[in-house]
Amino acid sequence: MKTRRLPIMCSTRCHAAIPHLIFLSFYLMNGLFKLASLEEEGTPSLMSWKMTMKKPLLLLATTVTLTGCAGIMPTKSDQQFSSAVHSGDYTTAAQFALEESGYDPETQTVSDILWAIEAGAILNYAGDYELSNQVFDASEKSMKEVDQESTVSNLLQTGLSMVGNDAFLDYEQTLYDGVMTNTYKAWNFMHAGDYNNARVEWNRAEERQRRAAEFFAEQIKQQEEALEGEQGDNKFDPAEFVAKTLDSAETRKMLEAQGVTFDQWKPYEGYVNPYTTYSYGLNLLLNGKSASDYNKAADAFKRVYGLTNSKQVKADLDLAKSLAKGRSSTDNMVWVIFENGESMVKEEFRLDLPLFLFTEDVAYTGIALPRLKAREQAFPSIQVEGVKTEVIADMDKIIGAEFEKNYNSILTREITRTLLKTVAQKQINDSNPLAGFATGMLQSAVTSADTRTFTSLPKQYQTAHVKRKGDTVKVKAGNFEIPVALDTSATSHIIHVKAVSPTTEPLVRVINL
Amino acid sequence: MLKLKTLAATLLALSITGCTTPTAYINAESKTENIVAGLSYADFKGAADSMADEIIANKMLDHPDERGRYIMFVSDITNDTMQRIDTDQLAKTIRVKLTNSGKFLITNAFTGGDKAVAEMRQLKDSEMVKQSSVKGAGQVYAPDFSLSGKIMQRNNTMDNNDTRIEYYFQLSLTNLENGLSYWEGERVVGKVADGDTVSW
Repeated sequence: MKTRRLPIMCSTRCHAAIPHLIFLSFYLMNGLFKLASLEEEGTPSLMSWKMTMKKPLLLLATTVTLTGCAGIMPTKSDQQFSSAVHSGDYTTAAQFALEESGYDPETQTVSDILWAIEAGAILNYAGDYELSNQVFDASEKSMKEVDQESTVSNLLQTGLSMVGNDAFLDYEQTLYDGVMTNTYKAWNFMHAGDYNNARVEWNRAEERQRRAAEFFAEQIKQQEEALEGEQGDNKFDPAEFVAKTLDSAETRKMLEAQGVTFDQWKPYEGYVNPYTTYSYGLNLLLNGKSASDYNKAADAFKRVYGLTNSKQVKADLDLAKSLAKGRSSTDNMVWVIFENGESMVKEEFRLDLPLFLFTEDVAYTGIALPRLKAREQAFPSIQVEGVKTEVIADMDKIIGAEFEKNYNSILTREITRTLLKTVAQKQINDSNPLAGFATGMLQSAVTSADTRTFTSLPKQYQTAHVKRKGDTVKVKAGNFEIPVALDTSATSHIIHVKAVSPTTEPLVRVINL
Repeated sequence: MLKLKTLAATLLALSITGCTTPTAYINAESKTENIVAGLSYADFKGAADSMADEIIANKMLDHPDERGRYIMFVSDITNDTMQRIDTDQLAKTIRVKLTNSGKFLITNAFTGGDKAVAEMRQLKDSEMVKQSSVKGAGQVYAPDFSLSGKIMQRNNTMDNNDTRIEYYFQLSLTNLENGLSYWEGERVVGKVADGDTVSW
């Protein structure tokens, strides 16, 4: 099930209206309470009603602003999207995602980055490579806007995240979202036979990987500097107080009991996505024009071999080295890329902090956080002409590592936000217990975590290669035995096999080079 | 209070109306105005002009016959950048300059050239076409030299987090008779762009 809540609460930028709607409901409700009490006292004056209402209304307005967006349940389209993907109905899934992305073919823009990259990926599976690239191009434009948001805008966003909730904000792409965007685009061009533009996209994907490695290196450096700074600073700092709370063994234990991991997912060395690097190498191996290209392919395979120890990749490495020396050829060779299962997603969990135990004024306060939820692989491996595929990239590892890297900042925002909301709720409660109770209920209902994730990725990528003997090769995936026809006028071939589950028939596509 | 409201209204009006840039002509060759992180006409023109001048001035490429001209085939120029460019943007300027120099002729008869050279020879079997006007066999000249190369891009992050972008225009002129390179040229265009985002 897709856990994103965007269509209700923030599918584009309409979410700003949600708090106002909530505010209006409470305004009316609290007004009725006040009127009823004034009537009992026999002074139904509008002026006195206004005066009495002023403070609770201000507090309510604050609270409602603090609580932010309200959507909780996944929408119909979310469910239809994920079930369409899971059943291999990529045409239907693409229609849903495209609609939700707000893609405008005339202006070549999208209004929702996450739905747009979902649409791009699904359109690739559906075989509409041209549209897939158009949507991905539009997504990259939006990603660039997110990257270039000014300091003022970032400060505002940080402020908003403090008073709303993380899902209230526009989706900010992860680093692997960007890398995979260019990787998909490159494969789209490969499928369409446009190897020149494919090369450009591989270069872009590799550049995004370089930037990602530098980003994480800088992040680690900043964290170390922050730690050093804290040691000599004796001043009271609320942020530091929150950080200490988060770092406490008790908090960590409580979160780990909920399935939160902090260092389970080690990133690939250098924050490399080996699938992207492998694909870059394979493109140079098969479309290379010079020894320099084959050497680059060898470098790429060497990196992937170092990360995966795959014998298949070692053979690719040897082949690239041999081609660089003018020996060997790739004639009649068939590579299989296997996209296995579905990648990890995020789900919400709640830790209710029953503050009423300490003070009778507060009925409820709670914290909602995201955690990772693994999905199934389709098969341990598949076979092409009896040769087993081997893992070249574990997307769960990449997703998990980036998520864990950012988890402390998610926690910090959520704890701080919860404190703010609770204080506001208590103040309303002091002024009007009934409104305070209702606000508590509202806070409970609207507390939610940001679980938006790029869900169309596979759990793993695997590869194998064989030499073809005839005009077909046999692919065996679980109980499915698929004869794949090859164009014998081509010199080499790439077969993409995508299996989302053990029971759904795999999707097979061929590139004849 | 009134001032605050006026300020708020002004800000709101500004945020609604936004800013628009009026359409205007620019100097496409300028390297000081309207600069982009990607490759522009100014970059192609600068690199191609100076490389073509070098080829024309190269004494090794003087034809032994005073009235003779070498025939050149423009082979593959690979785009190894992160920009979706057409490498003809580089090749065309060079072709124009070489042709206009009077020292070279460019052949369009082969791969990537004008398909009509081969296709129109199929007219030899056409009843419609005056056969004496059909271009015959053995008339097309084979080239003497081949021009090939690539455009590369290298990005690096500087200490202030900006991105230093380098574009390398690399070309080789190969004598097709002996396979030796008679001229090699490289031009580097360097730029600095905001490091917060990608350079395309």
